[in-house]
Amino acid sequence: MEKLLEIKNLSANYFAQDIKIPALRSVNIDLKKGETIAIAGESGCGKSTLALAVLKLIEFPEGEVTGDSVEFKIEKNSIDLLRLKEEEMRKIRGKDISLVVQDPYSSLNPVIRINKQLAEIYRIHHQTCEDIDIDGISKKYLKMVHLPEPQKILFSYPHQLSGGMLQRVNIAAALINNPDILISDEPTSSLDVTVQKKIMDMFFELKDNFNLSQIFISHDLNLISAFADRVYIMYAGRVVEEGKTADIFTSPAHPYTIALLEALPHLNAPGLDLKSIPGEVPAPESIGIGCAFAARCSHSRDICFNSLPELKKINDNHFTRCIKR
Amino acid sequence: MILEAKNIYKTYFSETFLGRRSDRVKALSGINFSVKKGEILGLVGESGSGKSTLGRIICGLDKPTGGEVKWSGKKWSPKKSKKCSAQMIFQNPAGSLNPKLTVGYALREALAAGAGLRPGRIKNDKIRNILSKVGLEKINIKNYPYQFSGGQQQRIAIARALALKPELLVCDEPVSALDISIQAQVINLIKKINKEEGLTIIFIAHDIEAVNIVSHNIIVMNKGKIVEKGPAGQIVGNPENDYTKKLISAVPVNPYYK
Repeated sequence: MEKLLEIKNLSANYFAQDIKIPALRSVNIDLKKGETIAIAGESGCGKSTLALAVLKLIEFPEGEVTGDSVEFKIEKNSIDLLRLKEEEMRKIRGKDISLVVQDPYSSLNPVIRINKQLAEIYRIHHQTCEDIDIDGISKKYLKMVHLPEPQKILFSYPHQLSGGMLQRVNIAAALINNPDILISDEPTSSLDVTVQKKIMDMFFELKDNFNLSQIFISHDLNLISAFADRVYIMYAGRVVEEGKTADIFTSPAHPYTIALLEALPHLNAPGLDLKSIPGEVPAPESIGIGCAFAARCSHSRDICFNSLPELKKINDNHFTRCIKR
Repeated sequence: MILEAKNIYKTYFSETFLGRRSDRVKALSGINFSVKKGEILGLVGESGSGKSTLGRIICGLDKPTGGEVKWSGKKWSPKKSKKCSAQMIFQNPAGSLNPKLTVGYALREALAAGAGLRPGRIKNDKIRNILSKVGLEKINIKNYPYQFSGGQQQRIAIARALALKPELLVCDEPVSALDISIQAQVINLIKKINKEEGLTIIFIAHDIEAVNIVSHNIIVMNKGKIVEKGPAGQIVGNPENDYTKKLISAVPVNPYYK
């Protein structure tokens, strides 16, 4: 299948008090048309930075985005997002690539009604003098995300809605310009499980019915296992393993992935002791040249600390960055 | 029975600026349950179900509007009692440790209060001893809380609670702010403390998977009421109540799990 987005060697650094914090280190990711990929990892692994870096939302003096290229295929043309100017980038954000963030409360303006906020997003990318029924369009998208009484919601303020409803509004806002790619950064982790279930059902529907390409960022491996086509496991700013969801979950190759899967509590195994990973995720500025996981890994040898393992092929789709393989 | 809660009601009023009571929110309505010595009881429910309010009432941090909490058959009031029967661990360890106190000082204060001594009389050995119970024997006790990671801070909070030799430990969402790998460390620690010290624990969480791993018995709460209670295996494997079923079916299932 055709590749829609191809990220090559993307890195991102944050600047804080004269030190450079490398949050993302030479990441290669590709997304095919109609595919759902998941980016998984613990906090501090760079998964949210990746979303921001692709959309070039990290700027000086806060930080910088560097790398080879971010190829984005749009109507048979291929453009490199990294080389785009800010004005051109603005035409892509919210239209061709949309982002849904974790906190539904802070991503909407509290003093503006929902209809105006949705209309703004639509108008910015459809500049026309024609009289368009913008509330009608908004209502269509609110219905698409299964919000009850769209008419009422359209004229409410964000504080009048619950967290789950707000997240649906955010998703509707992300979809209103028919994007090619939807990036969702932990879209359900601030919500209750029953609400999460409803939102996920909707994501499944988007995947099956609208042929949307999605980048789904989450720390919840169980959620990912049911939803994604391919998975990228990240640790300390690098992709340590990538592969088809079935491969990652049935035959994980990197010791970190294996340990992470063993640390998950599971409903079918009550009372069983969980296997924990000793130590904690290292601070990004303190990682040496070797494998970042070596200090916590039970298989590590001297060479792990001194040189970075190459990405090794296990099968056509399954790669891992571990010396053992 | 170490603890019995009888018909507990809690209503919150929001007051207008003239002091008139206006809206009422029924946080708890008619809660009855008991905890056996040495058991881990899981309280599970979604946000707004009243599980945290119940935890606070058990610890005496909030007064119930109606009903009473009995400790070993006696009514307990936090003001009169000198002995600390219950200790609490909160979701955010960074917020529950005093940022201005070194970890050693915070633990020394707790140990002194538990033993009825002045803090100066507590030797460093005792502090080390209590830290070794939570697997932190190697840390520098002169460090401040911000110098530790989230998982370590949560263990320090647990050590501080244990220093007072409580009969009951109430853990309010102790792992939901932690990463998966660290979450497993803290969950295993809570189970170990229960096994080795025989401490009774109430484990409050929204995550039914975590509760299921830890608890012997589970209480499911919804809108201020207990909807189902029973042994962990039965609640998860064979739920009777519709809300419990809904809660369990909402948990994402890994289709590749063996």
